[in-house]
Amino acid sequence: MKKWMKKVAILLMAIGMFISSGAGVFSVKNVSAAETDPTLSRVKKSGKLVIGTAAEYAPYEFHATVNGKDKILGFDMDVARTLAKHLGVKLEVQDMSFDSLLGAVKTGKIDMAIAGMTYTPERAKEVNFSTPYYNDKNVVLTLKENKNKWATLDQIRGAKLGVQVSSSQSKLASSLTDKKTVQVKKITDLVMQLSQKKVDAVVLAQTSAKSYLTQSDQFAITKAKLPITTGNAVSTVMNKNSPVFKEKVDQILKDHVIGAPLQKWQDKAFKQAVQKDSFIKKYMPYFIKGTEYSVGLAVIGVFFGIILGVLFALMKMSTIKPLKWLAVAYIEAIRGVPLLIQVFLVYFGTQVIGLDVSSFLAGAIAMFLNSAAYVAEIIRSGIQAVPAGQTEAARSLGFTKNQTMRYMILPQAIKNILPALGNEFVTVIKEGSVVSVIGVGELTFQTSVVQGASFKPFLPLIVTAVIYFILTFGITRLLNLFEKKLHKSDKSFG
Amino acid sequence: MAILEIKNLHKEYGKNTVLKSINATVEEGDVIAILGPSGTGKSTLLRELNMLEYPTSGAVIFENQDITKASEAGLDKIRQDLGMVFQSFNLFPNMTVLDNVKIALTKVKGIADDEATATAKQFLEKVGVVDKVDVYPASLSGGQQQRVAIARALAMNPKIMLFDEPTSALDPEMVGEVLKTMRELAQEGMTMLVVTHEMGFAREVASKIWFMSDGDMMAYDNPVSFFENPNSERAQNFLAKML
Amino acid sequence: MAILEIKDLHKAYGKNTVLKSINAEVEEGDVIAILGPSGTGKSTLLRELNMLEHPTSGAVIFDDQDVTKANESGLDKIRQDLGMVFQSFNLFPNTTVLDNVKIALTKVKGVADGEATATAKKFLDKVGVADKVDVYPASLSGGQQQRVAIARALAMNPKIMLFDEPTSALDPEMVGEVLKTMRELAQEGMTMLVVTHEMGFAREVASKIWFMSDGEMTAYTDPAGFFENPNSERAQNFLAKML
Repeated sequence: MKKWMKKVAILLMAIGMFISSGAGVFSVKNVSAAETDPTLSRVKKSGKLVIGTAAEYAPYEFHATVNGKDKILGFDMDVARTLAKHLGVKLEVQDMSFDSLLGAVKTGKIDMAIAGMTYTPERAKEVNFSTPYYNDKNVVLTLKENKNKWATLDQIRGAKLGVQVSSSQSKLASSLTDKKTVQVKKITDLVMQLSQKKVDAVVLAQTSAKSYLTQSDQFAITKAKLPITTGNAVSTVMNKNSPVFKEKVDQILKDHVIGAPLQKWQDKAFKQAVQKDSFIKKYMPYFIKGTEYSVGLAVIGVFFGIILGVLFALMKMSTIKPLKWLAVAYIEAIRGVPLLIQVFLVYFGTQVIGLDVSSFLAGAIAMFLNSAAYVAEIIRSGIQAVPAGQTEAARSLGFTKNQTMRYMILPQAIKNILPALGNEFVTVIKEGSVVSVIGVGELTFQTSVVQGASFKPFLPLIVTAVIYFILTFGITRLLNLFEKKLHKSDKSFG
Repeated sequence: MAILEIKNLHKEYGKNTVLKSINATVEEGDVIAILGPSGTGKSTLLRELNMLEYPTSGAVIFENQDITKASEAGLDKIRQDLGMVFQSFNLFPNMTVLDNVKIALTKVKGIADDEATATAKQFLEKVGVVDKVDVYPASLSGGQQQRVAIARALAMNPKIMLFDEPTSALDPEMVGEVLKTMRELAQEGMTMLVVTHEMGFAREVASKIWFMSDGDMMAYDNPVSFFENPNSERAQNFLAKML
Repeated sequence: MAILEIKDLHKAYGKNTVLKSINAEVEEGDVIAILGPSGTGKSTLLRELNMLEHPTSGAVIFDDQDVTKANESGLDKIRQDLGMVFQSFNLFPNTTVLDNVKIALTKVKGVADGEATATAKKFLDKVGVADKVDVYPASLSGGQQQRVAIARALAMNPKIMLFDEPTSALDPEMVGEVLKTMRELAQEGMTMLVVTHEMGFAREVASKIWFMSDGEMTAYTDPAGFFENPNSERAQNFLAKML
């Protein structure tokens, strides 16, 4: 036990050192570069500007169906288009979770993040901020009926405030109230908490507050005036190693974005964000697409998981000690680390070692690497569950080891293995929700998209829950039928 | 003529000595009943004759070859000559009765399918379960399963048959039919080693008795004298409990 | 005097009829051997006498009360009078031998600890395992475990003892010691119902034979008559296999 733990620790340390040294190389490079920098070179060379965003933040960026097609709209997209145009390259937009944007910028997965992101000293340590292109004031949103209850800063001292976690508002909110603030990952969830009276009020940027006002007359912005210095200077975010790139971006922002153009884009975005249409008609395509991705991920995950899992199972049962150790180490390491972390490790890790892997591929790889460990255990225990007497009987008849495995053990082990593999498939469908963090458009991700675009925090969750249930329950039923067939020869007459 | 020779066979599990330097010879046509209290190494001894378990030291000579030193491939060959019948039958549950008997013929001996079917049916008929060829083992009674297991071993045309408590897992009313099959086999001259608690069978059918206790083995060439006048105290105690 | 009456007892699992309207009486002091082929409802019948299984219809009258209609707390009371010994002993593995016997005395009967210990030791002495009071069941042989199980049942001072194949799970050389204990119990006048395959025990100790086959039961009040001249073909077939 202890031996392999040491090995894993060493491996992890090595990975850590590799990542940090990689970052070091980049920073050394940028000092010597005056005419260009890694990001700018990459953009010029590929002829495209890769923008990362988290499109669940109307009117900054949000999903909408335009002429039957899913598109990302919002004034940030106009900013992105303008930047690409003046850099003379094509634009490519990658949608991912807000949390993974900084990581994606740092590892070079994306050239720039544009996601209504505001300056904080913590973030500034990690990445470069462009000059702000918009200043978004903070406001206090509450239920209409409580509008006057939280009208002054004094009153707000007694309020239970909700804020988006690690947002620029989270510190502000803590300073405004004497109570503990409620920190939630997504603004849609915050607003849901507000409508369910789990929080008294929400501190958020004016732009998104206004969006909610246009969607529902349940809410109101209070009169409480927050300190002007606490506004949100919205910037684009780039890698630290790209001073030249930043200079160019700043110039384009000053010349072609800030002021009148941005105002025009914002007005357009507000209108687009409040398109009226039935929920189902408008958002069903997202759920369908998400379901396809979820099932696809699970199929890929389990399929390759089985191939790799068989290998690890054989290694673990092998009499060759190093192979056995390797399999044990792999299986224990995978089972001991949350899938979420594995997904991040694959997504950013591939970038660190110089591979440009799409978020879907990274998600799929993480899924099958993870599934392989569980599949290996399913196969091993399935094989070992076949009574030893079967091997003894076969060997006593003169069957070789391999023949015994082929004719006696495997056909019987399959009966133990297949149902468990089916359960693994169901598990993988559910766990696939984790890869939404790197922006794979599977069901959970699409749910966030719909929450953001529809300003309905709860309904999309119900739809998603129902879809997951239908998938998993349906598959489980099918598996049970299949299992019954498998066990025909076990029936005795007694 | 000695068909099998056991020389100084010794077996330990850790500190626990199971067999203490066993020496014995099996002649062709011998029917040897291996008797003794539970947990005294009877099954271990039997299982070391075809290397289902490996002795700690000692030799088992079969056809001028020490099988404790045989390679894997060599063992696969030798085991074809040593038919084994287990307490818990160990039929292959996913195959029909016919396939249970056929599979080693086709896959191990490489016999053509038709011929294997004929051979299998011949032996199933011999043990009296030929009407069950197409059913799966789970639908057979214990006695029927054990007879199929005997047919399966016989079909390989072994030189020696090893029986490891063949009737201990059976319902009492099934014991008779299996012992009857074994008795017929003995009468045909098959060389047999039988670990058993069936004293009646040992007395009537066996040509020799190996009495084991505490890892020691005493061979008796005359079963009647063993039962009537066992010269050791341990054998006397054992028989007092069993008879 | 009838201590237990079985009236039209019927048991079906789905379409499968296990017991077909059994009628019988147990007199005080009876030692009844329940014989018959495997799977013909012997254990089911026994287990329906203390409602470990519930009959599909019919009545079991004990102490002027229909046990099948008793409520849970009524059953808890009745079961104290019906000692049960199982094929697989079912000792509590997590308590010592002494505690195995004591626990029902203290927790069910509310006997004081000192008295319970004395009673438990008395019965452990009676079955010959008094020297094992402080060990755990796993370190006992099967025969010893079964004798502890008998002591555990006897300590509750039951009116009837039910034995469900008490020697079937034992190594053959352990069978004798358990049968001996049961034989002594019979000689003391205990009312006993014994499902068994031990024909010798049935013949020598039983006062009545219940022969079961295919869910039907025939009672013989003369064991010697049953063994020497069974008037049914099914009984003849069975005895031919067993003897």
